[in-house]
Amino acid sequence: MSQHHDPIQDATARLAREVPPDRDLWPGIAARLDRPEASAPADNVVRPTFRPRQWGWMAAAAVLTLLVLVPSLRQSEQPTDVAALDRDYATVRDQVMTLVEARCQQLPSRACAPLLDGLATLDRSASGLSTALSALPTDSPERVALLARYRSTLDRAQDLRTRVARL
Amino acid sequence: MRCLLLLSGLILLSLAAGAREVDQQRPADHNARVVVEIAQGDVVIRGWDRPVIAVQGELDGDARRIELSGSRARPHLEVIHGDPGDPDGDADLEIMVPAGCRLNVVTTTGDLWIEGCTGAVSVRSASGEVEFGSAPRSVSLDLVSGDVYLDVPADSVDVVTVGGDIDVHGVLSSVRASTFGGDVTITTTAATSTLAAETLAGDVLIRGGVGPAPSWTVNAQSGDAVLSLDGPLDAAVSLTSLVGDVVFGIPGLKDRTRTRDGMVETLTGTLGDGRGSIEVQVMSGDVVVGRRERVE
Repeated sequence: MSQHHDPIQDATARLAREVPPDRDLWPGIAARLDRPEASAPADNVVRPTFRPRQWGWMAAAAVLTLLVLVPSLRQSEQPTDVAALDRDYATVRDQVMTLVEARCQQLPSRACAPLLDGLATLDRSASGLSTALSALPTDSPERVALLARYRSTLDRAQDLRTRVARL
Repeated sequence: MRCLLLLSGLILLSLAAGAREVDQQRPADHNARVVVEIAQGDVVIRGWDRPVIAVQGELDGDARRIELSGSRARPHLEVIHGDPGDPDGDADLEIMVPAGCRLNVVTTTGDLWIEGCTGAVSVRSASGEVEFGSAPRSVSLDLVSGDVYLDVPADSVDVVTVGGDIDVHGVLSSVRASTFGGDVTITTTAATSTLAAETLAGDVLIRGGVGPAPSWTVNAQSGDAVLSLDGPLDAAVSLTSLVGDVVFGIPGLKDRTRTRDGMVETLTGTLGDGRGSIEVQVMSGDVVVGRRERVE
């Protein structure tokens, strides 16, 4: 009979009991903004650096990329700036809330409460991402990842709208 | 004896309160696609070796009757309510279905227990517990509320829930687990090739074996991702955290590169021949990946 010993899990379990994780995104980012270089990793850190003669190639590549991407971005109608995402999220959120209020008059409370909890989770996510994106400079490297997460949150809100509508 | 008396008392009480007994059956193919729709009530579904669907139990409130319709290949069981738009009555049922059927259950509220079904099982539920007594070939759960605990060695598992933790054990081939707010815990077997785990607010903990040429993705927006892996590993690895640390403790990572671009920390490398991929992305939390130790 074999059994498993899981040191990483053990350590994580202890950590989780001692320090409850912060479920909001923004406080962590705000803390990191205050000390952006505070916790540099120990091994093989490669920071993106650009040599002057690379700029010519990069400019050409950027122009080419824009020529290829801009038409497809327009076609896909994906919101690419924070204000558009804020607007889209608020619209979907209002639709979800309207549906939830209507359905909760018929559903038992144990089915209704998780819908409101789910919406609150999405609200926290959207709020944290919006705040972080607004606080970061427009050319910051984190924006790509944060915008992707914001779009993912918007997708989740649309998914919730579908789920509530078919209950 | 006291239990029997109590049970008899409860039945008499429920009958006195207006409960109606049901006992119906209908032929069905062994590999039929069975649809069960129940608004409210606790239901047990069991697979058996007969080409028949049978239902017994009680209805109360405005749960009027059971409609058992459809062909042998696509039978359909539905509880008919007085006001379908606002059902107000429970259907507590035991339903027998051909063991190898494909089972599709839609319920609004109530607990569901499924056992003896060996085909694909999908459940859509707004609230209530869903439990399995034995392993179907595949499980698909689309839930609004409640924690999910699955401890059956299904070949594939697909769980989506709006709120609650997901805890899945014994997945053989593929698993997808997605929750808005809650932790995701998955224990896989050595052959798990496809894995997708996602939570907006919670931790993701993955333990177990990685299949050949895996396609694994883990996303945790606010929470940690911890992977404790077993077996031969053959994958390109990409681990990213925006606000947190990336820790990788498995020896033999080739082309190991750690980048820090603004706050975004990424560790990439290759295990084995890199035929598959393991991607972990965390926004606010740590990424920890290590080798699961087997102690004899």
